[in-house]
Amino acid sequence: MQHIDSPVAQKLWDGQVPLRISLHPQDASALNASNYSCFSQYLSVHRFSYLPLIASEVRRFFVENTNLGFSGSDAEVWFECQGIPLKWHYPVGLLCDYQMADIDHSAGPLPWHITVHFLNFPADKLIRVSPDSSIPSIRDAFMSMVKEADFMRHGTIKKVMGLSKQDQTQLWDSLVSHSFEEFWHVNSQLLVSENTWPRYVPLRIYVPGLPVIQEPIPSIDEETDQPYTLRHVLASVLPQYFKPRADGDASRRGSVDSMKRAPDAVALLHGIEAPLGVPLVWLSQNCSYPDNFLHIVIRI
Amino acid sequence: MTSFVVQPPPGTAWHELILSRLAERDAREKDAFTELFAAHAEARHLASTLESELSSLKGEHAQALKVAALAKEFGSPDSARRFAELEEQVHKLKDERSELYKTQGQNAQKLLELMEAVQKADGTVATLQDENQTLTAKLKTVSIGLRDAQELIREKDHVIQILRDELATHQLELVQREEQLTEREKKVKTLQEENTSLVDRWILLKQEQAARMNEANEYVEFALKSKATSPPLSRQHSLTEKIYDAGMAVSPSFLPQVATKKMSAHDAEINCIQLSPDGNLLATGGNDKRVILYDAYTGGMKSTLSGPLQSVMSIAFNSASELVMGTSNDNSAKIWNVSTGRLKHTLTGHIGKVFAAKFTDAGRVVSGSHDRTIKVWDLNKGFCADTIFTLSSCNDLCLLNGDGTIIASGHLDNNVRIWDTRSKQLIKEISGIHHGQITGVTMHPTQNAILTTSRDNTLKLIDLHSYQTIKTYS
Repeated sequence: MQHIDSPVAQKLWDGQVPLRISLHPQDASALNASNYSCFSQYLSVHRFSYLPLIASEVRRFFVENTNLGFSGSDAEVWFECQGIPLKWHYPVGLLCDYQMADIDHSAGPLPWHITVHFLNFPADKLIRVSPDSSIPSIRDAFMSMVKEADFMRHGTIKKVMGLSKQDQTQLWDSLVSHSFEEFWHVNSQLLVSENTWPRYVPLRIYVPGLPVIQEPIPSIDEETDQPYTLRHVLASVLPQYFKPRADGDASRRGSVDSMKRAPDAVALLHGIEAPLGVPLVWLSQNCSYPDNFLHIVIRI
Repeated sequence: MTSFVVQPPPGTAWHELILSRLAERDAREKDAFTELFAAHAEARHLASTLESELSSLKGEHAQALKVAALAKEFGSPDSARRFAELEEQVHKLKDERSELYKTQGQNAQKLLELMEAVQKADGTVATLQDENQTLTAKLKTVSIGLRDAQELIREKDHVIQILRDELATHQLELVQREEQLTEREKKVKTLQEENTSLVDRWILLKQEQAARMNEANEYVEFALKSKATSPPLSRQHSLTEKIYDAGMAVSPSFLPQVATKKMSAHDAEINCIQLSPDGNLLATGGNDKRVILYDAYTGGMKSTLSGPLQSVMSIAFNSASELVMGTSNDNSAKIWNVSTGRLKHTLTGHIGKVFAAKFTDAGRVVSGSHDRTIKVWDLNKGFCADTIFTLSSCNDLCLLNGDGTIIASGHLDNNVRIWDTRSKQLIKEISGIHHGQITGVTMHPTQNAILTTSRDNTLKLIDLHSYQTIKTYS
């Protein structure tokens, strides 16, 4: 774990998003809720958490406080913001960043206001999971992302499949129980690579209004044998928003200045502007989400 | 860990930048709201507890109002009226009660009657039970009788089966007899023809003889006439001849009193002993399942014949002293050649111990067995020729003539029976002469009488013409 920047990792792990959750008026009247307009649930949710993990808490709150007549499964619960259903298989931090970057559907000031639904699951927009299995489903989605990241890094998924059953379980359970040590105990095994750079960096770029971009990004420049920086990558993928700074490789220290001068769009990562001069490999190792992907949102 | 891992560069500008921006973010998104949300949750909790308290107080209030209304009602003039109504009700109820007492009395009466009826019924039940017991006892005796009867029927069936089997054998024999009869008739016819021819020749011879006789008579008359003066013959010679004959007829007899020889041969008891007709051999048979032959003059053992599976019960020689036969408890009789000592025949067919057997001059064997039969065996063919059912186990038998067509047998039922073996008919049953089972019968060598031995410890000589006891030896 020498190569893990623990201060950064710890800060990322502890990041939270304030949520204000209110009940949708249509669902409330259909389910005979009383005084629903008076009640909003205020919750601080970890950026690395997922919405299905808070579904049962939200439901309990509304059932207790508004006499909500809902007796279905937690899998029926879904969330939306500004009329757009929120994908339950994205981490909460990514959803928040995406929403903040979307100018057309600006979420307004914090706390982030979302609406909860108990009826009319939008099966055409969200993946439907079978009832009584909401937690296993989100775990399966998470593990498939981990495997995908492993494949991109090493070309195989031996590292994930090589984990013991207990470690695989612990990887997810530590996320649910929010245990930093337990998570990194397993996750560090996935990061170690033997005498070689990762083939590709698991990276997804989200631009509001556009499809998600996921391309095989090599970790180093084959010609110069230098690690790519974030700027290199963004400039090659989104040349209309990011300029390839020819003198960008002059030094990493110069990147602070270059940021000021640049009219570039902003790359949001974990709620902050990511410095563009950072080597992508370091970013991937230290600033990935628990699913081992870098989810970068571009604010234009 | 390896050089390929970008080490965290503490102190680099972008690293500091990231940390500071994260701190800024946490201040904005996390720290600002943590306390606020906690306070909100606290307030929410407080509000909900207050609400629940309020609702419970409301409930209590409603209860109190009800109690107050009740209290008002009891104080009103309506209550007096209600009291009167209630008294009236009490009256009614009392009337109803007296009515009920009456019905109760009637019911008690009825109950008594019913009790009596029950007692009567009990009496009848007891009598019926008695009857039932007697009937079951009868049933038991009847069923026992039935079982006995069934057993009897089964036994009878068994007997019938046996009789049927015998009938079948008889019918078979009948067919054989008829065949033999036709053969005999043919023989008789040929014999008659021969007879007539012989008679004719005989007559011719007789006539010839008569002619010669006449001639001789004439010659004698002529001689007598010519020798009328010659002296008469002396009769001395014929007299001495008579005296000599008389001396031969009176042969001296005496009882043996000293054992001249002692032979020990058998390992177990000796059951039978027999001297051969030519007097050369002596044979013994015993419980050691063997027959032993001795030289009758020297007493030396000649040969040991084995083969029977059980004790040997009797021994017989044929008239030429070539064959010796031993009968055995293993239901068979065995015949050995005397000179070679080799087994020649095994006669099997009896289903009981074979106690006696004799050779006839006609190449047959007659055997008597405890299976209540006498069997005649043809030694040329080697199997049973006839079976006589004797009705009682046969202990011993003897031939009354040489070819064994008439035999006498001594039985377990104290009787002696005389049989014709050709017709298989009982000629005579001699009963009442002995008080124990007959153990032996023997033909008298010269007279027409038989000697019997019995378990009543007597020997009797019986005349075969009158079937009367001539003499009793005890």
